[in-house]
Amino acid sequence: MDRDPQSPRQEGVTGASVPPGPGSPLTGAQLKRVKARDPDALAALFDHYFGRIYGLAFRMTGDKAAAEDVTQEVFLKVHRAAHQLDAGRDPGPWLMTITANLCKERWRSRSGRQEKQTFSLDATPDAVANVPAVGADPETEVLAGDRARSLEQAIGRLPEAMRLVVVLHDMQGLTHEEISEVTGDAPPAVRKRYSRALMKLREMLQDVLE
Amino acid sequence: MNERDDMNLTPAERQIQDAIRGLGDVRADADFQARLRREFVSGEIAAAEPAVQLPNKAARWSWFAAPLLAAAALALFMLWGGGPDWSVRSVRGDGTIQVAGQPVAAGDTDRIADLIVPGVRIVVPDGVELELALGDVMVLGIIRDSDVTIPAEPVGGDAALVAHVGHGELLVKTGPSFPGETLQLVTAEGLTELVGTTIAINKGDGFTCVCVLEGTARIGKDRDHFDEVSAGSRKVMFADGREPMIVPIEPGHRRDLREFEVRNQDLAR
Repeated sequence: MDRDPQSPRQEGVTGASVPPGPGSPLTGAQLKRVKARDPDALAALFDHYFGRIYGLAFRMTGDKAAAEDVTQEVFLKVHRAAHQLDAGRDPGPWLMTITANLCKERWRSRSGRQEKQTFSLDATPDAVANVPAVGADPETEVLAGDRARSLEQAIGRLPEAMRLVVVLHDMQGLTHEEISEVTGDAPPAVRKRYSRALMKLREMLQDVLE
Repeated sequence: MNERDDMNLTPAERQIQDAIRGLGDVRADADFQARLRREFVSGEIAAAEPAVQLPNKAARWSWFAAPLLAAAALALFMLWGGGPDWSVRSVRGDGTIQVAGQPVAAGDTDRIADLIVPGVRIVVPDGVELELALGDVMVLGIIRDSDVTIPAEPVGGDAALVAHVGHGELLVKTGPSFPGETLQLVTAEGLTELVGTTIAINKGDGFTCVCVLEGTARIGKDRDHFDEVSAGSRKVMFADGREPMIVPIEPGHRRDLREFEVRNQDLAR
């Protein structure tokens, strides 16, 4: 297990009671049933968080197979640690932390370093749905597609710590405060890293953006 | 998303941010998603090989180092020591058992045996009793409307040998080939560690009761709250925060455990 779900570093992210409702995180009652590994509650947890976990894993590894491996490992860990879940808190930050840690450990492993060297979103052209605006003409569609592909590749070339902050903030919707809970860095450090990442992306994409 | 985080972005930074946020979502392979969902919901995932072989981290070897060593020892025993497989020892009663999410008639022991793998989730209806053996390492009795995930083969640096009881009753008797290490039994209310003993763990609505027939078990909501509970006693833990209590085993529980013990006494020879 990467981290005790009830450790202080999970606290303070979304510490309030989890509200019910469509599209919102699971209710406290559902999370209690997740703790008991109730199949319906596990299904709800999976349905709510699978996309975010897989999305983070894919953006961080840049590889479909690696993202699947990491996602599977995350859910294995969640299943094993379900009884330790704090039913009063949104498990989202905890899940993002597990995912990010697994990606980091993968980078640090020998195989991970090899994968990092061959990071390419071209290997999975259908994995990212870069959909141009409805009604765009073919030329605009092509340009939009090229630009999106360039941006995806630039994000993939960012140093890992920068990429993580960008993905968590702009694609997963986490605040800098929440990201600091995931990475263990102070919020000002997260903010600074995010700003540097944006400027690095701008440098890489200067030709595309102009 | 907290707008305050982005209040001080320069126009150049804002342009990049807008472009990033305009990228599409990542789509997973539908078959992969469906398979993982099924395995996660059924508990089969606990038996899956990890796709990522993670390096050990010193941080993991903290206060729970001993159980991990125990798990590793048992993993070695099971995986590389010519260890035995799980087998169906007996099935009593009529009804449908769910093994890895698949319904199987209680009388179809061959099919049940085919589906039993380490870490599999088993749901037994009221009136059916299923007993499984891991060679002469241990016998598990799953009885009375129970939902149990049997121990998975420990894998990776942070693995542990753990059985989960979602609800119902699990009887455990360790045998002569039990490697003298710790087996963990987990419910919503707490953790039980045993080193060679016969116990019953009864998970009801809002409580867990652990009866110790032989030997000693460490029982508590976590390791900081362990009590050494010896033969003839049971510990009851509550989900609502009430203080746990250690009291003598109820006669009915003692009888059930004794019958289980007698049925499987050949394991001790």
